[in-house]
Formats: sequence, C-alpha cells, structure tokens
Amino acid sequence: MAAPVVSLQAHCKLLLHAAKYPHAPVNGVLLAEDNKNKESKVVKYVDSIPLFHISLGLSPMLEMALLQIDAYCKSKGLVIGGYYQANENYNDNELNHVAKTIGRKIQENFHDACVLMIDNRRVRAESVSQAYRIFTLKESGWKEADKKSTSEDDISKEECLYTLLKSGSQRQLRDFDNHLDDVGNDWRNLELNDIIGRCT
Amino acid sequence: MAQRVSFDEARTILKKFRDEQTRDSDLVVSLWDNVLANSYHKLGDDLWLVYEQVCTAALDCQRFDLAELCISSLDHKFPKSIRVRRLLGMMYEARGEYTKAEEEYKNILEKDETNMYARKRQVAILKAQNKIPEAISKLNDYLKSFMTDYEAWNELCDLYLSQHDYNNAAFCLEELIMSNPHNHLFHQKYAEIRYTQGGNENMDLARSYFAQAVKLNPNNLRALIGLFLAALNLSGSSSVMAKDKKLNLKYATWAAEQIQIRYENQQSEEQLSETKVLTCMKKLVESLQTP
Repeated sequence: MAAPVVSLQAHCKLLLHAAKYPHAPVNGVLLAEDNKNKESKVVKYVDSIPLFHISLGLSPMLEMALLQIDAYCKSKGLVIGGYYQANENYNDNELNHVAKTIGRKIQENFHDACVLMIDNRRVRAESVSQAYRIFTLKESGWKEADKKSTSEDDISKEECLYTLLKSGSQRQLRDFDNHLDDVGNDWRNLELNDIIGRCT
Repeated sequence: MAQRVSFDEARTILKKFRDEQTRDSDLVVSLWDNVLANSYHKLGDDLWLVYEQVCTAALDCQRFDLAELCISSLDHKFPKSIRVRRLLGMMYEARGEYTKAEEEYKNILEKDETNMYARKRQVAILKAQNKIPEAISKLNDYLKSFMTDYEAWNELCDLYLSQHDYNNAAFCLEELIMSNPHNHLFHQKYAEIRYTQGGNENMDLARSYFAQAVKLNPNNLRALIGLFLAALNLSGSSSVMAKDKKLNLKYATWAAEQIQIRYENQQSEEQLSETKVLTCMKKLVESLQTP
C-alpha cells in the first residue's frame, strides 16, 4: 500500500496542536476522503481534528468525540481514517498502548488507517521536517511505513507551518477538550482552515 | 502579540496566571521581554513573585539568560533562600543536568527535611527521564508524609494512568474525593477511570459518580456526557436486569436533554447543524428505545 497523502491543512493543524500544548501529550484524528466506491488505492487525509491534551487514556470523552466526528464525516463524504499523537515526554516518541488501542479501533472502521506518531525532537521553532512517523497495521502489529525522500510538497508544508508558528496561530486552534470546556469552541477550526488556505 | 499590551494589562495577566496556575510560558516570557522588563520597578512587591514566575517560564522556553537574571535578582534580595535554590535546581533540570539538580535538592532536604517542593522536584527528575515506576514509588513515599497534597495525588493518578494501572489511579481519586467531597471534578475523573475499565460493576459506579458530579455542578458537560454514555451502556447491556435497564434509559434520556439544551444555547445555528451533534445523540437514544 502506498504511503498516505497528508494535505497541507491536515499537516499544519496537527502540528499546531502539538505546538499549542508543548508540555502535554496531544492526540487527534485524521479525516480521509471516503473512497469506498472509487478505485483509488492511496489514502488522502484532507483534514485533522484535534482531540485532547488532558488524560488521553480515558475513554468516555473519546467515545463522544468519535461519535460526533463520525456523524459530521458522514454528512461531508469523509471518514475517520487515521490518528495522530504526540507524547508528553520529549524523548518518548514510541507508539504506546493508547495509540495502538485507538489506532486499532479506527482501523476496524477504515481498513487502511494509519497512526502518525509525532517525533518531539524534530519539532523545532525554526524548522519542522519529517516531524511524524507513519504506522500501518499489519498481521504482526503496527509497522512503520518507509520514509520517502523530501519532496517539493514537503518544503511548501514546512514554509507554511513556519509562517503559522511565527504568527502564533496555534493559539487560535480549538481542540475537543476546549470544546468540552465551552461548547461554542468549534473543533472544525474553520478560521484556521482559511488562514492555512491563504498560505499557498 | 505581546507588544500591544499595556503595563497594567501585562501585570494583570501574570497575576491571573499565578492564581490559576496556567502554564503559558511563551506568553509570560514575551510579556516580560516586551512590556515588563523596562518598567519592573513599577511592580512593587509583586516583583519577586514575577521574577519567580518569569524564571520558570524562561526555563520552559530554554531562555537560560533570562532564568539566570531572575535567579540572581532573587538571590540578591533573598540570600540563602531555599525557595531560590529550588529555582537553581530547576535550571539544572532544564539543562538536563540531573545529577547537579539532585544534589541541589538533597542539600535543601539536609537543611529542611520537610521541604515538600524539593521532594516533588526529585519525582519530577525521575519523570523527566521517563523512569515512571521509580517516580511512582518516590511519589508514594512522599504521600505517606504529606497525604493532604492534592496536586501530588493528581500527579500520582496520572502516572498510574500512563501505566494503565486503573485500579491504583482510581485509588488516588478516592483519596481526593474523601478529602474534597464537594469537588465535582474529582467525582468526574473517578467516573471516567471506572468507565474506561469497563464491565457492568464499573459502569454502574461510573454512572453514579458522573451523576454526583452533575449534582455538584449541573454545568459540567463532561459529567453530563459521561452520565449519558454510562447509562446508555447499562440500558443496552444484556446482563443487566430489565428494571435497571429501564431506569438507566430514563437517566440517559434526561442527560441527553440536558446536553441538548446546552448545545442549543451556546452554539451558533451553523455550528449546530453542521456538526450534527443532536442528530447523532437522538439516534443513540432511539436505538435503545425500540424493544
């Protein structure tokens, strides 16, 4: 299976989430185009929805989040197709129990689901390149996809993210935890999507 | 962003962060650099608290120049202060010089063995090195002497959760609930842990504790959602008696209504309809009402 394509919007939002809470673990889901009827073999992540930065390992709020996001996806021709996570400890960049469990749950609904583990050491103020490793579920467990060489696309992603970080855009991001604190906080982050759209 | 903030606003923001224990180190450092550094003499007695606050924020941002400035100013004003030496220890930690940090804390404890801050920093050193089982052990020791330290119980709970030791994590929350029976957040977190463990007994406990959290604070959305999901689970479970199933369905329906009211009152029309919250919840409740 070919490596998934991560859109600029999905890429930037997940890294902005990690940047907003540098001292905490963060996680979220990736939305893919629902390709059930099409022949395409490549998974395309078009958006990411930031979920939590508190107690990643507890299930009730996660269940509610997935229910809401799933209902939203169905109305947009999208599907929850992936998961990302950044661990709390700077040096802890391994796929842990929480990531594997949630990843498996998503894979049950979307066969080609991937887990993106953010490597904390590669997220720096001046540059964020190859910031996450991509894992897919095989017979023997979660295996890392081969690293591809840097493409033009990657460079424009880096530049866009750099601009966003410099202007402090991560402060505008609203994750599901923010939503639970105040329901007016919109986890779709439409304004941020606009800003990212104007980056190119 | 911090350039457009006035001196008084900056001062108020920092005080709010101190009161609420907010960790927004980037902003704190930025406010110091751009607003307060040149007018620090106007801070009065707040100055020393601000130095301490800016110091820890600077360490978070790896601004050792700023941290050293704060520490030396504090040291000048409060020579031989243990509180200042703790900041020095934290600077060693931030630099990854854990042996030096450990020595600093040991020295503090030799002078004052009841110093809770130094003992907690020793746990932090272990956590930073990802030595979680050792951190848990040390924190347990600490709590034997300082059993009313809520912050420590919370931290221990999170350490246990990271090791998937739900029973011990729940025990920590039980300690917190016993000493703070009116804190809705403790009831809610306890319920979340029991819910995560699963099984009818735990789900039943979860439902009760979510309900208690809602009773203590009807605006706790997480507790309402938890109550809804736990009651829903119980009403759909095959090993629950029919009369309990009916009761749980009533609870779930009530909780769903409460959640609906909050969403309708606090979200815009567009957000409400686009995110399909209400339809998804309605479906869940209806799916269980059909016998």
